[in-house]
Amino acid sequence: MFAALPDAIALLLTNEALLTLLFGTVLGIILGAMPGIGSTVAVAMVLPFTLSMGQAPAILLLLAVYAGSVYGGSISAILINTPGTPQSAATCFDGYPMAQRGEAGKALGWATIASVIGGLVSAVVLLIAAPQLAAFALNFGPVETFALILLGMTCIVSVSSGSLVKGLLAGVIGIFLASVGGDPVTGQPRFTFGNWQLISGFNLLAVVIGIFALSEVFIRASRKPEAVSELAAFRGIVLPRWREWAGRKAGLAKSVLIGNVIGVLPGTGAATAAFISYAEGKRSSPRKEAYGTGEPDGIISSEAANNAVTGGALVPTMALGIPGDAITAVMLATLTLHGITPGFRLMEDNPTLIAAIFAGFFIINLLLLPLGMALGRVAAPILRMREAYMMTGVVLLCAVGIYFVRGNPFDLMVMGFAGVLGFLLRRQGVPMAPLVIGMVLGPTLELTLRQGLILKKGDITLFATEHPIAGTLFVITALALAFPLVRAWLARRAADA
Amino acid sequence: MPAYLSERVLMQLTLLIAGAALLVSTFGTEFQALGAAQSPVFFPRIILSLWIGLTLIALIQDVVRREGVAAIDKVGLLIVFVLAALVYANLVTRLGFMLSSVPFAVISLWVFGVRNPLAIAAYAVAVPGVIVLLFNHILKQPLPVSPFSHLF
Repeated sequence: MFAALPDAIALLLTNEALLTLLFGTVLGIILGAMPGIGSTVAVAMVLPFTLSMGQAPAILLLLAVYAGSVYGGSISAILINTPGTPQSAATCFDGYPMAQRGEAGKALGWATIASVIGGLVSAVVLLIAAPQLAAFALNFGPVETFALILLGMTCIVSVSSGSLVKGLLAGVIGIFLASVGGDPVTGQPRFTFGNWQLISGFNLLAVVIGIFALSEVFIRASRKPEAVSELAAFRGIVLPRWREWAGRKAGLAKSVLIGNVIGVLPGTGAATAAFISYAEGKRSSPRKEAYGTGEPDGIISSEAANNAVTGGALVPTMALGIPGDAITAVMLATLTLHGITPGFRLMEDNPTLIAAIFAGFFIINLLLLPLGMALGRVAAPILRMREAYMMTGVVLLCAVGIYFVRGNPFDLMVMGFAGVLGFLLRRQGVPMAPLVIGMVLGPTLELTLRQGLILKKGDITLFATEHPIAGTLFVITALALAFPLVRAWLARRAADA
Repeated sequence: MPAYLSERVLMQLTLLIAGAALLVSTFGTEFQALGAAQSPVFFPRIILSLWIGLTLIALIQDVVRREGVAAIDKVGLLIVFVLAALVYANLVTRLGFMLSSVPFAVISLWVFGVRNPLAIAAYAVAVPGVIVLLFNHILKQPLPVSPFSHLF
């Protein structure tokens, strides 16, 4: 793949690719800074517009919006004490107190540098780890692939927020929604109930946008507007000087490491990484007493970790086709729509594309520095925008986006009903990420299970006994399922004692 | 309404009935000829059985715990908004993007608490107008137009 780097760089130096990187990062920072939009909604909203683009620009646009939005979330976290994305929630603890002291520019400077370093290191990790992991998975047959998807989905459910049962239920609903339409083996229509529009199944993008973006609008319409803290005085980002880094570099390195490791694990996501990193920083920093009062170490812990997750989460996505979180699940769906199947074959058959994606991701993280500096002041007035205008705009853009997918009125209705379903399920505490991941991975899960069963003449026990890798993955899956139960039991015991 | 019939319980019951009905629908005659893994309903039956089992557990948990959900501020306005969004999704391709977006934007802004008629009118016309201008006339990726004019 490294041999393809010159071609990949040539691909990235085209006007289309450069504009895409620039525009995507700007858009990501702005959308990420808007409270209520968040990375998943931002990526979902942009997704339909990528369908008319080439493979590389389309993926680069999504990556730019993803990385940009994770960084953009810190702007609102620091300036108005409201994280633009859940990943930046931990940034509020020290970012806003600094801003209240009149050091908003400095706080954003720390956040910018920590984000850039976290993102750049994660790009290198992606470049090194993804091909290795993909090579390991080269000899996977349907049985191993089935076991791997099962493990990936279980991890996502086990560690995602909320109850384990509801997470599993969401995943099952997602897998079912993916099974509507033609059977992948025989082609016979299933669950169409005479509606010919359903023969090709539910449009994934319509469901994703409904579930994430439209349901978010419904949720915001259902409650009183949140009280927003006063916008802190801000006159541009001030980068920290070299000497101010004294005693903070080890903390930064630790946060970057935490972000990368957590990013590679399916399902954990940037918000978890940011909180774990913040907690670790608070435990081990020489200035731990100052955490929560406007200590730059707190901002570094959170922002370096959440941006380091971005590359880490792409490792299983690009190498195995197993998304690390809801955002990478959406990206995986886009790859599929563009005719790209992630994995070793892709790296062998299309190394230029993969190298362009990885190198592009590195450039995006480099762009965060100048664009963050430039956009910090522009983004601040956007934070004052009323929720009403923002949410109405989201619905209009969702409609535009879904119309561009296939120009099919049925998809718009699917988006509407998916929004209602998402709203109702989210109110009951059902997480949405497993639903989308179930919908993305469901078809492969079904196909590999049925292929495996046909190969083994219906004896599922042979999956574990004749395939040691699959057997090991099944054991890990069982442990992953048991993990939340054991954790809850231990917590109860500790509470009783 | 009895205390045990909370919104959560009703939702779980709805999911349970839906899952059971879908599972029953797989036992139609058209799929009988094929057996085991080759049957188109083999996998959905496993999934729907899991659906029912998990919903039952979630239902029991919700009945036992009796946890509430966040109160809806104004139910009537929310229903109006959801219906408006669904009607809007249906009308975009029939009436065109502009004609359907203007009334939707008016309703949406009202639901979200904007009461200044000038602001509502300006936003409801300007934002869809800019989107139409951008896509139809600059990017040349036409949005659906109304039956009355090809311009919007």
